[in-house]
Amino acid sequence: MLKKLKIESGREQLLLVPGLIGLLTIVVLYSVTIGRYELQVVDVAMILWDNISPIVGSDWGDLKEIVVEQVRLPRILAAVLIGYGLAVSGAALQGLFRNPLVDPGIIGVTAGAGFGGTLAILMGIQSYGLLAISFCFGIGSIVLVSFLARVRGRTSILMLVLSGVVISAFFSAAISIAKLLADPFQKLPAITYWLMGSIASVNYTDLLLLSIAVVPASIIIYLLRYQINILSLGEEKARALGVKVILMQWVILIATAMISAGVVATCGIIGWVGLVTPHVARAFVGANHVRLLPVTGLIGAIYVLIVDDLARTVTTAEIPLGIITALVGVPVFAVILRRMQTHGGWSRD
Amino acid sequence: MKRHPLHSGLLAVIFSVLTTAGVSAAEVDFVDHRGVAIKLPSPPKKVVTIVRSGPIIYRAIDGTTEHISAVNQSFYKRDFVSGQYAVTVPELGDLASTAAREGFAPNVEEILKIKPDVIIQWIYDPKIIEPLERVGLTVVGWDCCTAEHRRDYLTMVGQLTGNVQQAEKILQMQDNSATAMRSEFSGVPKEKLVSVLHIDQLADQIRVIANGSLDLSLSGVSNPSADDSGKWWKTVDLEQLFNWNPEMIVIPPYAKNLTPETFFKNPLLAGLKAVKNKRIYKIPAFAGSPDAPEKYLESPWLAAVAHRKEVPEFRTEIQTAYKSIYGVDLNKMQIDKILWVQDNSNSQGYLASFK
Repeated sequence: MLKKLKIESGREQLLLVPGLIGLLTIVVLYSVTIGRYELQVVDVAMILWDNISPIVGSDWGDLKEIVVEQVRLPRILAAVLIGYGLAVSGAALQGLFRNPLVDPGIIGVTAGAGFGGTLAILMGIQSYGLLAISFCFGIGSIVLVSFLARVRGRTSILMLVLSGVVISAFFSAAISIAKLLADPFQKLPAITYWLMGSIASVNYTDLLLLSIAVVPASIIIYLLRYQINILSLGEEKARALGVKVILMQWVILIATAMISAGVVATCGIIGWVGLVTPHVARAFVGANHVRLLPVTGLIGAIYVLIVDDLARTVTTAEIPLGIITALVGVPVFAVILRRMQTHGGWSRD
Repeated sequence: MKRHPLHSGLLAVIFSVLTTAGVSAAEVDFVDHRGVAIKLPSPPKKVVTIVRSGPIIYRAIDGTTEHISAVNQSFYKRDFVSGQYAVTVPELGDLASTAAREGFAPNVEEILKIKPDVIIQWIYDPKIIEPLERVGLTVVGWDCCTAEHRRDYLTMVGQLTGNVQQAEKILQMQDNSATAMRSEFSGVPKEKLVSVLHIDQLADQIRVIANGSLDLSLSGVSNPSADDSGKWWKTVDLEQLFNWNPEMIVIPPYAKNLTPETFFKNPLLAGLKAVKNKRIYKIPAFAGSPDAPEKYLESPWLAAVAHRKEVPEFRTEIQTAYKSIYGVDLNKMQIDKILWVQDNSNSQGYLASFK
């Protein structure tokens, strides 16, 4: 089914990125106008315009301005960054590991950063302290993975994946212990909610910190798009073609770890985006990372933004993003798996 | 034990009939919220309470903690060791907290070591009672959480301890206060009620008490989050809070990390009416447990802050209540702590209301 979507002509593929940027812009503008607090499109436009050119005699009131500028805008921008970052890192890792079932969680960073955040909540540390601890644990887990994966001075992809699984399992168990110890009425709900992923309380400082993690790492991954193409052919071929395999692997791993740690530290664990989005993008533009990375990133951004719109409008309480991404991701992934089965494996055309 | 399917509202009548007619051969003879007849030859010497508010109620009626052998660990430290009761009834902090860990699942082996005469336990889940009865222990089951149930807690403990008069005295105090409040605010038209939100969590999600057990009409206030769902709490986002935009926000005393300053300093909340008018208040410590005998003081307190009344006599009312319920004499500093004078000092009119 997805195969039929593939855009074959180079010209159409060139138009796809601007088209997705346009779609993302529309979704962003639409997202600012929707929410539990009723706002007219005109009010939103005036409030936004007031920042560019102050409107004399404006009378929309403090609350409306706060809703648009302090509540909705930061979370919309955060959703875009998170979606872009997770999708790009998923695509890069799937290329690097030559495995369509890989996502940023496989290298242990997600569970590590998740444990860091859990620990911070358990110790009563909030805000930037939580961000810092979560980020440090995320990065620390990739260091642990690299240490475990190194056998006789060499690190194989298989060992990396297995080490990631081991570290993830370890931190998942540690999260369970932390939940067991947490006060069941205050801290346990806070931990559970945070782990399920939410950007409800993202402010501009969080957004800045998220950008520091996601933007440079995404640029690095994009700059390595040709190397990822070669690495996806296999280590031996990549070496034969002159790619410094070990160095490239580590640069990509650290960049994806930065993105994952930054995302988890800011808003908890949001699964399935890095796993599913690259497959959807691949259905449009194929497996060439030159085209795949930007298309994946934009689809991821649009997807997470729509998910967040649902999360904050469907009920009076926010639904954690992780729940919706899983509810959508599982059936989509099931379709993709069946397609792979039908076509005899992962298409790397 | 024999089971009777009795409505809890009939309990008070049955208690008084049994007591006055002297029909009971046993010293202690009453029916709990399950309809189970509790018969003991004499008031229990060893009581274990897994219900968290049990120790407070037992201390209020029995006048001592001597007969309380173990309590629930959950909240023990917060409420009894370092909370308000550490100041007013410090002996509660010396109790063994081995009856249950988190939640209400009994620690059967620890309880067996104590060999208690009775255990006070909630009845919402048979699984938390059955392990105790299986090993031959006597369980007094309490239902939750209507005003009628709360009256029954006092009456049952009165029966258990043999201090029925103390239970009746406390109930009378509560009734007198409610009658006085009702006469003052029952005629207030709906549109003149002050809209008040009870917020106990302000994080990614905001948690409000939507359908609590406090009778808000006694204080002339309304709760914009109330509905007919019957759910105690409602979790909402910031935009829903803006939609309600209440005139006043109150913070339950158990919300340890929340004070009026938390709201005043949050720029996202600056547009709320309650924040603009500095009408955010922390509810005094006497409302820390919804089952506490002194909880009735919340209604006059809420009325005073909502309707900006100066009630210097309220301090004496607190003093009298604690003296009658716990037999303790509170000094000015203790009353200041109960009223959270320091935390509420920047809230509109608070110092003037309770000077």
